[in-house]
Amino acid sequence: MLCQKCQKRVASYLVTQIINNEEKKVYLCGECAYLGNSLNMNFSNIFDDLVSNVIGFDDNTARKYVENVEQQNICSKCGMNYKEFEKIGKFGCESCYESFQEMLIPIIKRLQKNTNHLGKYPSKLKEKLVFDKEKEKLKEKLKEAIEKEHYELAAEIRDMIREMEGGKLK
Amino acid sequence: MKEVIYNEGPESDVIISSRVRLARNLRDFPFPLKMDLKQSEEVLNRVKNVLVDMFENYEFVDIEKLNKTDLFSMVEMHLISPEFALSKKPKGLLLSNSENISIMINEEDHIRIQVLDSGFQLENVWNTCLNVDNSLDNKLDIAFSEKFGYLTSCPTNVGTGMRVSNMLHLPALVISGYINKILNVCSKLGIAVRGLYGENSKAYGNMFQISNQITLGLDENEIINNVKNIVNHIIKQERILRRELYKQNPIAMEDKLFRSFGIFSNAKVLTSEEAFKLISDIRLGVDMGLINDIEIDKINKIILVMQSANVQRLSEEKLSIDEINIKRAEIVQKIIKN
Repeated sequence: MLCQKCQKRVASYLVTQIINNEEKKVYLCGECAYLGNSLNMNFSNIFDDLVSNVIGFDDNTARKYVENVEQQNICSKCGMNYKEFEKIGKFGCESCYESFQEMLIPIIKRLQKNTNHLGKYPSKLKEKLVFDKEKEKLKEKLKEAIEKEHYELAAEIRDMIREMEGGKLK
Repeated sequence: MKEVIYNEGPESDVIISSRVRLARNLRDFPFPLKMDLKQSEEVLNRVKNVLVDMFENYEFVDIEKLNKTDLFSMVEMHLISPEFALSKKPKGLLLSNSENISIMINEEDHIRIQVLDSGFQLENVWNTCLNVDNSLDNKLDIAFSEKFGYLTSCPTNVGTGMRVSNMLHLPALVISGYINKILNVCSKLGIAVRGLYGENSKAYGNMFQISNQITLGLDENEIINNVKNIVNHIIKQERILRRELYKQNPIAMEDKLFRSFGIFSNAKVLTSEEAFKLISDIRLGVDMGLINDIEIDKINKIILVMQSANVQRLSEEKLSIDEINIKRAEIVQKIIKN
C-alpha cells in the first residue's frame, strides 16, 4: 500500500492520530513519518498528534522513537536501509529478504499475488532436502517402532539411518 | 548474430522470437547494488572461471573493453540489456558460439542466463536455459530461500527468477485499434506488454514484447503455459484481423504493402522510424503470401542490422545521423538484392 501522505513510496508505518478525541489510523512511509515529525511541516499536526498524544511523548522522545524504528529497518548484513529500498526498489543482499520480511510480505503479495516459492530448487539444495525428508521419515518410523516395542524393526531402521548418515559423510 | 535468430521458426507469421531468462545470485556476496569494486571483481572471476571451464563452445567477451557502438549494437541484437551496456561495474559476458545463449555477469543480478530463438518455441528455449542453470548451480552456491525461492535484487524477479517472453509482430491489431483491448486484458492477467527493447521502450514497427510479470508462487512450467496461452490467443486474433482487413479492401492493402516494399528497396535515405514502419508492412505482405520477392529470414536479419548502432558498427568512420540514414538504406538494399 502507498503512503497516504506522499502517495509515492510504500507505507511501512501504521501511525495512530487522535483529533478531537477521535482515533484515526494513517499509513506512512518511513520518510514521511520522519519528516512529518522532525521538520514540523504542514503535516506535523498529524504526526504530533500521533506519537505525542497517543503515547504521551514530547517532541524529542517522538523523534527518538522514529529513529529507533528506523534503525530496526536496517539490514544487518549489507547495511541497506528500508527507506533506501523504498526509493530504489532493489535489495542490497540476500539477507535483506529476512531483515525486511515483515514489510516485504505485503509488497510481494501485491507484486506476485503469492508469497511461497513453488518452482525449482538449486540441485545441491534439492539433494539435501530430499535427504533430510527421507531421514525425517525414518526417524518417525523408528519412534513408532519403539513405542510399539518392535525392537527388531527399530534396530533395522536405526541401521538404515546410520547408513544414510555415513553415506553423506563420504 | 548467427543463423539461429534469422531462421523462420514456428508460427513465424506473428511470432518473431522466444526468450527465457533466469536471474541468479551467489550466496555470501552482496547483490550488485551494494558490491564494492573488489567484490564485483571477485564475483566476476568466480563465475567466469566456472563458466569457461564448463562450456567449451562459448566465448568470453571482455565487455569492459568494447566501445559504446559495439555495446549498443549488442543491445539491438537483444544479446545484452541496455542497463548492462551502461553499467560501470566490472562485468562480463559469455556468448555461445551460436550466439543464442548469453550469460551476463554483474548485471542487476550476479548472473543472468538468457536463451533466445526464432519463432514460437518457449519449451525448447526453456530446456536449453534449464540445462545451463543446472550445470551452474552444481558448481556455485546460489542465494536461495525455501520460502522465497531464488533471491534476486528486485522483488519483481524473486522465486523462479524467470522471465519468459515472446516478440510479436501485430500490425493488424494496431491498425484496427484492438491492441489496446489486448493490452488491458494482459495487464489484468499478470502479463506485461512492452516495446522492442523491454522496459520503458516504444513499440517500433508494431513489434511488442509479451512476458510474465509474476515470478513467485508458480512453477516454471505454469509460467511458460500462462504466457503461451495468452500469446496463442493473440496469434489467433491477429490472423483473423489480417484476413478481415484484406477482405475489406484487397487492392488498397496490396497497394500499401507493395508501396512500402518499393520505397524500402529503392530509397536513398531511411530514418530508423521509417525503416521500422516499412519493414512491418513488408513482413505483413510476406506473411500473408502477397509479397514473394523476399524471405522471412532475410527480413529478420534486416530488422537486426538496420538499427543505428549496428549501422555505425558496419562502417569504419564515425557517422552523423544523416550519414547513418544513408548508410542504412545501402545496407538494407544490399541484403534484399543478395
